[in-house]
This record gives sequence, C-alpha cells and structure tokens, in this order.
Amino acid sequence: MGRGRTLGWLALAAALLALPHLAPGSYFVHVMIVALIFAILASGLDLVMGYCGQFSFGQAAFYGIGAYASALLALRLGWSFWAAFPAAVLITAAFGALLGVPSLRLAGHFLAITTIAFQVIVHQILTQWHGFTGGTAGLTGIPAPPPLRLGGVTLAFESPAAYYYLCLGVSALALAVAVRLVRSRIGREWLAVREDELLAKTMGIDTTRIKVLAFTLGAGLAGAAGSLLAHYLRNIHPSEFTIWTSAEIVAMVILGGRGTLAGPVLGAVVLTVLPEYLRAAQDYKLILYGLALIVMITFLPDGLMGGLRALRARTAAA
Amino acid sequence: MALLECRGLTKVFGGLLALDALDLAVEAGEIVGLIGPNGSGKSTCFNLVSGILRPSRGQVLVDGRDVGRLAPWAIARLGVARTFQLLRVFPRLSVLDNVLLGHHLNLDAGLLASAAGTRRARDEEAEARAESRRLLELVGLQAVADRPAEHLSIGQRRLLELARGLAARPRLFLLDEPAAGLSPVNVERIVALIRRMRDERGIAIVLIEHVMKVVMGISDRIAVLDYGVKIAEGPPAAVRADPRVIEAYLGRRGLRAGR
Repeated sequence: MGRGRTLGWLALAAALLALPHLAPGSYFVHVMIVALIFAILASGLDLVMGYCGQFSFGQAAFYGIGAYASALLALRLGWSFWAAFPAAVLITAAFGALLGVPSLRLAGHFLAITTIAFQVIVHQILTQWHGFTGGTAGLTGIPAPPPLRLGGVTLAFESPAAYYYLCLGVSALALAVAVRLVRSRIGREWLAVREDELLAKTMGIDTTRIKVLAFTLGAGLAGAAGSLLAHYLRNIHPSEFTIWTSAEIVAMVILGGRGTLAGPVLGAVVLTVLPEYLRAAQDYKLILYGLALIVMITFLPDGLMGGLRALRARTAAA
Repeated sequence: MALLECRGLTKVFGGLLALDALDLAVEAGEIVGLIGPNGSGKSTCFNLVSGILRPSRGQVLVDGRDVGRLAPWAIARLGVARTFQLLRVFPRLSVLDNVLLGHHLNLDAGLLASAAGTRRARDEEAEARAESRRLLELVGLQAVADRPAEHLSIGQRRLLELARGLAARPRLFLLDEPAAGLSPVNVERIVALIRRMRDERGIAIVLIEHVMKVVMGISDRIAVLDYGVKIAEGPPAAVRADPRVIEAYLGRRGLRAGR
C-alpha cells in the first residue's frame, strides 16, 4: 500500500472518530448511526451478491430477524444487549443457512424469487403474530446497552454520540473480518462460484458449502445490524423490514460497486445521508433509486468504486 | 486394480443413446487416447467420469470404488482433474488466481483460520502461490500471471487449463482436445507437456483428440468410439490398421484432412 493511501485511511479514521464533536446538534449523528447500520447490511449482502454472485432480495428480512431476536431476548428473558447481540447474530446466521439451502438447487431468477418470498413471509410473520412480535405496533421499551466497565473506565451508551462509537466499532470489526475473508481462499471460492459454478465444482470446490457459507455470513451481519438498530431506537416496527428496505440495500450494493466491500459501504452512506438532506429526494426516494440503478447498471456496472478505479487507472496511465 | 474403470457405462439423452455400454480401463501412468467422429460420445464419457452427468446404466469406478453418485467436487478430490473442449476459465479472475483455485482441494484452512488470518493459513497460501507460479512457468504463462484470464488467447487458455489441472496434483487427468485451435508451435509444446506430466509426475491421462499426429504419437493405447459404441481398442499401430476404424473414422476424416 502506498504512503498516500495510508494517509488517506488515517484521515478517514480521524474524521469518523471526530464526527460527533464536529457536527452541531445530534441529528447528523443520528443519520450517521443509521448509515453505519446500513453499511453493515450492505457489506453482508455484498458477500452473497457481489462475491458469491447469488442474488438476494431478503437482506431486510434478516435485518428484522436480528432486530426482533435481540429485542425479544432483552424483553422476554431480560438479557442485556451484550448477551442479546451475539445471540441475535447467531440466530440470524442460522436463518441465513436455512435460506442458503434452496440456493443449492436454484439459480438466477428462481433464486431471486425465492428470496423475495422469504422476505415477504418474514414480514408477514412480524406483522401477524401479535402474541410474539407485537404485530404492527411492534415492540417497545427495548433497553439500551448497559454501561461497560473496562478496568477503571466506564463506557455508557445512552447518548447518540456514544452509540455512534459503538456502531463504528461494530462496523469496523465486521468490515475487517469481511476483508480478510474475501482475500482468503474462501473469497476466491466465492468468486469462482460467481464466475463459473460448474467449473468450480469440477475443480474440487464444494460449491454447496461455500454458497451456504456466504448466505450464513451475510445474514449474520444483518443480524448484527438489526440488534444495533433495536437497542438504539428502543422500539421496532415491521415497517422497517419490508421488501423496500431490501431493495434499498440492493441499491446500495449496486450503486457502490458489487464485490468491492468498500463500494457498498460508500453506497450505504450516500443513500442514507442524501435523502435526509434533500427533501425532494426523500419524497421520490424509490423512484430515484430505480433511476439510479438503471443508470448505474447501464453506464457503470461496477458501481462508484469501479468508476473510481477506472479513473485512477486512467490518471496513472496518463 | 485399475485407476479408472468404466463398466457398461451408458448414457441416454431422451431417445438418443450417446454412450452405449462402454468398457474401458486406465492404469496408473498410462496415456489412453479416446478418438471418434464428432458426436460419438467422447465428451459424454468425460462428463460421466467427472460427475457432471449421471450414468443411465453402468458404473464408473475410481480405485475400484463406484463414483456414479458422487458430486463432481468429490470425484475431483479423489484425484481426477479435467479440461474442457470449449475452454472454461474464470474470466475476470487473474491467471494466477485461476491456477490457485486448482490448489484449493488440497488446502486445509477453514472459515475461522481464514477469517483470523492464522499463521498456518498464511503459510499455506504463500506455498500455493509459489507452486502456482512454478506451474505457470512450466506452461510458459508466467509473463501474464497477473492479467485477467479473459485477456488470454485460445492457445494460452489451453495452457492455463493444463496448469490449473496440475495444481490439483491429480492422478488421472482427462484432456478434452488440448491441441484444438492451436498453432503448430503450441501443439508441440502441449505434446511435450503431456509427456512430462506422465513421465515426471506419473499422471495417467485420457486424451480426446482430433489431431491424429498428436494422439497417435503419445498414446500407449487408443479406444475408438462411433455412435456411442467402442469399435476398437489397442496400440496406435493396430488401431490405425483396423478396417472398422478406417471406415468409421480415419478413412473419411484422415483423407480429407490429409493427415
């Protein structure tokens, strides 16, 4: 890595750490918390869609499963966030493995339709199963993470700024693990499945296992995002976890650049922050997403990151 | 016990008998040519042995074990590698990554070791990389190692398929027309490579090939298919002289192509 790049990363890290102190009022901090949660969702979907090449319209369903699992563990069993969070990740990952199973037999459009069905079913369960999920009214009174005592220091998570740091920590960790994985043999096998599944199979790669693994990890990350959301908002509704949310996450991945990890994170930040500050953008959000997707897929199929890379290659050549 | 044995191997597509009760045995370290006119069932035979197709009847035995129900990846892990007539590479991955993926069935690092980047996982990766570069040097592709595979010419792709197959350290290598579409220089190179695979690594090879000079020159034994039926088998000289073969295959094709 060049020196300029190292400096760039350091500057980005400093900016992210200083952000709650720079922004006047807490609204921007709130927007950034949501952006970080979506960054986790989008990087999870990127493993499935960008690297492994399996289309999924179900990421918001996993997001919901994580949020409700974490909230229910806290409300019904009195678990603290610190126990409910990892449990939610594992539970959601297990559902991911379950959805991975049909992906073994289905490909392309058929798999996409299956994930849409899964998304709709999960949303229906969240809305209809009043006794368990609270129905359309959702769940309220979810506790914030209790303070953490590390040595002599006590870290509280009541304030938005503190919660922002929590989300920043989780997303940085999630991204670090994801980057490691995609650069390892596992990431290479995902790409092999994306490029030519039959060839991968004849080369001794257990494509079944590697696809289920992508679904499991992608869902696990969505579970982490859901748990973070539940204990931040303190109440959750099924309306957060509809197919439109899934479509937004797909848009983030495609806009940012499939199979780049950094791209979907960028896409998540852009598509969370922009609508908050452009009133018109909020009203016509889905129409604009649709247009943006058509434009991107036609002119920049590798997304913003792909565009940036091409630009850098061109300036380096010139 | 033979390394590979096909017993009464049969494949029916709808009403078409693509392969009809083929009996064929391949011993370790042997080079067996599989020839026949287009559509005679040669590639179907490869697809059955490598697990892409399921036999309609009959058996495929590797080390005496029936592999007819195994997934392709499980058969590959028994030491069976193959190339494709219509050339299959991972187009957007680098040439080096294509070969590295050939090594994967011999790697140990699992999910946790890969996520944590343990020392063993890193050592294993470094070793596989070094070995992949050596293989690219062996086939003469070291200069293009870091280019996407889609940039390679047909001849280079054929060489890449060989390097990728060798990376798996196979005991049996199925080569589907490795010399098709190659310049004479590259044909020489492939023939030399195939000989070295057998002589230096003891790999048994089954070779589908239309270039008669190649298949007659390097095969220990040749089996001839016509309309899914094996019509002859034996040493190249005997097969070449067999009247059924001349009628079904060499007569028409050999005269026309002037080979």
